[in-house]
Amino acid sequence: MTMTIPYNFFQYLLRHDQCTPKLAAYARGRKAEDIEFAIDGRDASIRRMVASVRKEVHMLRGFVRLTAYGAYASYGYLKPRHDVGELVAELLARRYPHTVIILGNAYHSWMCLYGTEGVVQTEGPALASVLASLRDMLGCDSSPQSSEALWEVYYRSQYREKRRNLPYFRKSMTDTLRRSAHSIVESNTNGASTLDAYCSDDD
Amino acid sequence: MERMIALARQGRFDSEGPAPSVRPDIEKVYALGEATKHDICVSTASPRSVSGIDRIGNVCAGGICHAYAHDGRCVSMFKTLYTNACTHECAYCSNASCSSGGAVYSYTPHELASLFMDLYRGNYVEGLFLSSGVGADEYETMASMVETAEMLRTAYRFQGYVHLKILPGADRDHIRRAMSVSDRVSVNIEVPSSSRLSEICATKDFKTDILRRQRYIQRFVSKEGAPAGQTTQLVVGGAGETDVEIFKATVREYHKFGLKRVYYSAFTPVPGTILESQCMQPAWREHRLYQMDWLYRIYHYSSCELMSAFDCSDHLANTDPKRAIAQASGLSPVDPNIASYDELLRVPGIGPVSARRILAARTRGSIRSRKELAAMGVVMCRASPYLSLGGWHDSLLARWMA
Ligand code: SF4
Repeated sequence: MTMTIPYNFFQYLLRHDQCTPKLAAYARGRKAEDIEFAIDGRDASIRRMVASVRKEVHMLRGFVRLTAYGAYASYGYLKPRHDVGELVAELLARRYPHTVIILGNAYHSWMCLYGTEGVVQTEGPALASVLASLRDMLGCDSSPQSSEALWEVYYRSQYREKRRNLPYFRKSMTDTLRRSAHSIVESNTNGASTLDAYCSDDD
Repeated sequence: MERMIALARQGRFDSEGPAPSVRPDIEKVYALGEATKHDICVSTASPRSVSGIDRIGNVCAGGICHAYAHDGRCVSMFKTLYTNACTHECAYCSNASCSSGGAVYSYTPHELASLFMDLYRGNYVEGLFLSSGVGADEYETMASMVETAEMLRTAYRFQGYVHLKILPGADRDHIRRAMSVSDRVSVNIEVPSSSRLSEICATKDFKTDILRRQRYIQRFVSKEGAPAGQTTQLVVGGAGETDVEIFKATVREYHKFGLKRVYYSAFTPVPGTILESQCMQPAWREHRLYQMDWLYRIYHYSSCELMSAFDCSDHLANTDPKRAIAQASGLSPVDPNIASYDELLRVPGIGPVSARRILAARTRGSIRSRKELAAMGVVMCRASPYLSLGGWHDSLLARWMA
């Protein structure tokens, strides 16, 4: 029978921002099947919490944008609700082998590399200070290279004005998720839908 | 951090792919991107497994969405035409030679591959969806599309998702090559039948240009690649077709050609085309067809069962077809403590997940209250009239009013 709750659900529960030591102690003794088919209040709420953490990982791995910093590193903004920075960084590192992935915000950062030694991970201070050390390390010939402008053109080309549906957009790409990934292009819902409108936006 | 950078330097491949092409022409990116916005397939799910460190990119079994457009649709791939030049005369299409379209653009394989990799490295997209007008002729254009995908796979070591459109009338060998470098391929049938096609396009032959290409793909699917299979798309209401015609074509596509998915795109008139003054079809029509498709593929309703959802004019009403079928068939209340999985699935408000939870709960004891069912994910306001619990059920009237 296909399960929606993974066998390591406990690892996800621990990362939920409202997981208390008491709830964690209770969950430690539960099996994935207990949670999957729960009708009791506490197990059902664990199911919702695990789903919320997994959903955040899944959405943010898509919404985070990376800027290349020299040939060996890429960085992006991430401020998740749950403690999932490490997981998102690892997923991105596995996608881009031999590139140090640095995700972070004003308080915290997560770094991950997937290469000849497998996955190497560490955490650090604010993203800005990690980038400052990176600049010192790589020298001033490495400047950040982003494809944000290209993305904005393409993203706008996909919009169908006659089917405008902001409530549905906001349901799928919630304010919280957009804030977590600092999605600037997608958050601009002023309705510019043509290339001309887009270009005049920039004026 | 220093150690990480040193490790990254050590393991780096000798080549990162060809040198980037010139700065992208944004008008071209916009025009060729916009021309695909009615192509609906955005799934990036692929069963292929990617491992090793000698590559860039991977695929995810469930697919990943990288943004949503303000019309609510997922933007997961870099969807683009290779060229918007076309010698065909599809009455609804702005690329058609009979339309008074705008400027004509075209990529080169190198330019397109390089542009795509910029977006992929920035984690903006999950893969490439490459379609095209036929250009001067389908042979040349299809060859260039295949060359682009091959360049991504070899020169850039790209192992992410690729969906290639097969052009109507494409060469058999190009189809085989396209499939060896793609996760998914598709030929758009656009209309349900040959006679409907003749109403909107005089230059394409339904049997040879489209159905025969689907047959080639079906033969190659297991041997040559395209692990995510083939799909197709229909324009809803462009040629005046009914929902029954569309549904029957859908069933034919699944049965005859083993398609993974059929997509629907409600007809929207495009300025400058022959059909520019025809009415736009409502989005709900597309939505109801997707629900029918879902009932057929996932809930395994038979096509005969589904026919009761259509009205006497062969169209679907703007209501939930599952509920319409339950009402039309006079579904009597089922007891969740004894009903089979299939019987539970036919109750409005019960889906595969809640049906499985009900079966699992029964192994631990009987279900006694509606509250328990709600906790299992059953949508009680819809399901209640069709459930009988402890001998109690809603009246027939309630079923009709549900
Ligand atoms: S073949 Fe495709 S691109 Fe060409 S006119 Fe028909 S729909 Fe448009």
